[in-house]
Amino acid sequence: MMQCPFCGARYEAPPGRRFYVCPYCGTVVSEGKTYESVFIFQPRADKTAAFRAALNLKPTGSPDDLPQATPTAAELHFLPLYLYHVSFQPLPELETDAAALAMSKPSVELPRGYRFPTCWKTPFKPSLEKMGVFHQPDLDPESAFYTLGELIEEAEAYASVFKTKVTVSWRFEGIAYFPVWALEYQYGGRKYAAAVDATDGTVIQMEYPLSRRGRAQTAAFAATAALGSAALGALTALWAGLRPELGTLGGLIASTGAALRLAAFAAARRGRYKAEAKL
Amino acid sequence: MVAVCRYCGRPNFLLGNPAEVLAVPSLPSSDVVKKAVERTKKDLNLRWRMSAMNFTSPDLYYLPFYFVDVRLNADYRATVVVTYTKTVYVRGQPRSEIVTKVVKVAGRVSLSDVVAVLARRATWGLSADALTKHFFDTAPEPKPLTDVAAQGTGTFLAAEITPERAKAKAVRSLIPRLLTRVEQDAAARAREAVGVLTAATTVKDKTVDYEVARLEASRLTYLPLWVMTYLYNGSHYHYYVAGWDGKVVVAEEPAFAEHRAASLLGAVAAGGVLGGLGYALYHADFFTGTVALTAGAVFSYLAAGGLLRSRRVEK
Repeated sequence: MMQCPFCGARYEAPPGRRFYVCPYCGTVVSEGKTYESVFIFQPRADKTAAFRAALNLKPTGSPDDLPQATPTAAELHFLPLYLYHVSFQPLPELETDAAALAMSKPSVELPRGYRFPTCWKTPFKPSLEKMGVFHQPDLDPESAFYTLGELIEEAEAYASVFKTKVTVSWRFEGIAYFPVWALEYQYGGRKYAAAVDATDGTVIQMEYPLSRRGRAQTAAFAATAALGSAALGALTALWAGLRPELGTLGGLIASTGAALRLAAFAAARRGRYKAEAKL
Repeated sequence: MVAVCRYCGRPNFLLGNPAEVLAVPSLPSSDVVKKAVERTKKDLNLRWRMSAMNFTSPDLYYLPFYFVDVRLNADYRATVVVTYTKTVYVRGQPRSEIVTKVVKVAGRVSLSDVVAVLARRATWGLSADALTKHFFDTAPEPKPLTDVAAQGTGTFLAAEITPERAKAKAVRSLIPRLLTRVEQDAAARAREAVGVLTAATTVKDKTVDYEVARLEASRLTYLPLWVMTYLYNGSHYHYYVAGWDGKVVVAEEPAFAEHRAASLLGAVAAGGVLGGLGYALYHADFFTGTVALTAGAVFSYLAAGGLLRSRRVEK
């Protein structure tokens, strides 16, 4: 058992680990040292701006009056990031700072390959805890560090150019909290969720109702894709001197890719939007 | 020199001597708006919808870059499998024969380029890539930062990485291209060795020794990028505009009916042509028929994605 030097809570501490993270307050202890360097990224999009961004996004198939949906809940989630100073021996010019998500299952799904900024954070104050839900890390800094594979690969590729092998060493620097709005809104008696990056107001992901018109339009697209492919298949076979009925069947079979994708969308209970490329 | 952080909004200070830092001067905000509106008038899809668009005043960001001049040499040894068809005559009758030969080759290739490295750890995104491409195309003249900063407002984003780190990133980004060049060179040498310039080749094993012949980073250089938001049908979209000449380098636009029609046509064409040929050939040539049918299904699935997209990005 371990007693947290900050909040006094007692928690299980399996032997042989370099770092112990208090599950109650997130304080990190390593080799008798307590890490108190805790920062937050300041949220710049408030609740209203976050709702406005999400409800005005107009994803495919959403109803025209979605902006009039009723916001029901908004919670600011602070996701913990570990901050590292990384160096590569014998090439000191490669040393850098890095950040990695300290949660194995974040409450809000982030885009793949999301790279967190590491500089110019605001020092954390306990009074800020009223702002939102501060999630505690559930990964230890050693495990989280190995999610930074790209950083290590980049250094190794550089070193190979100089015919050198690098040894990676890192120093744990502290924790930074990254704010994300978890929103909930109601439309047509059903509840939907959305997540918005609170540092710049980008909609990260969103569930939304599908309008009847959107469903019907997509189902019509699916039928057009199937019938159009069948007709074109017949023409192609005819042009190639083959039997057109075989071409029709082939066109139908090959159009299943498009038809199934569109039919699945039209039949879904709700639509899902995910931010693609970062602009 | 004060720089304001994009993430926390706090001002911070650039290290070192500002006279050592360069920046490309920007057009004033009014000119940028004018250029963006002109671009919209010429846009094939947006020109008809101008009356439904509302432009807001743009924000100016200065993004820090290092321009790294790299030259890499690679000495390599490779084993290349060369395959070609040969016509042989058996009892006076011509017959095609597939010949496979394994050739060992060695050579040296070089690659030089100037790589723009964003001096920030957080990736900005597509607009930063498009901005540097436009910078290389137009080559505007950078001036000392002190002169540019004195001209007006804008947010100078602090550089987070050192020139040494930028060099590492530049080399890293060139290595895949260097390896491609090695494979091309090895394939060409192998074809030459067997005397068939149209032969198909596969590079099986290769050992490559790299050498950095030149690696120089420029002074830190700020490029101006205007982010301009417009409102269309209640939704916000962005234009990313190069500050020195007002060119829209990346435009986020709504997906309109014509884009959906194009995606639908793509799905129909992929399914119809590949499916039609595939199934008609199915009994004569099972393998080709199956491949064509599967390819048709995959391509039509991909094309249908365009029907579900609500936004598009134009570069």
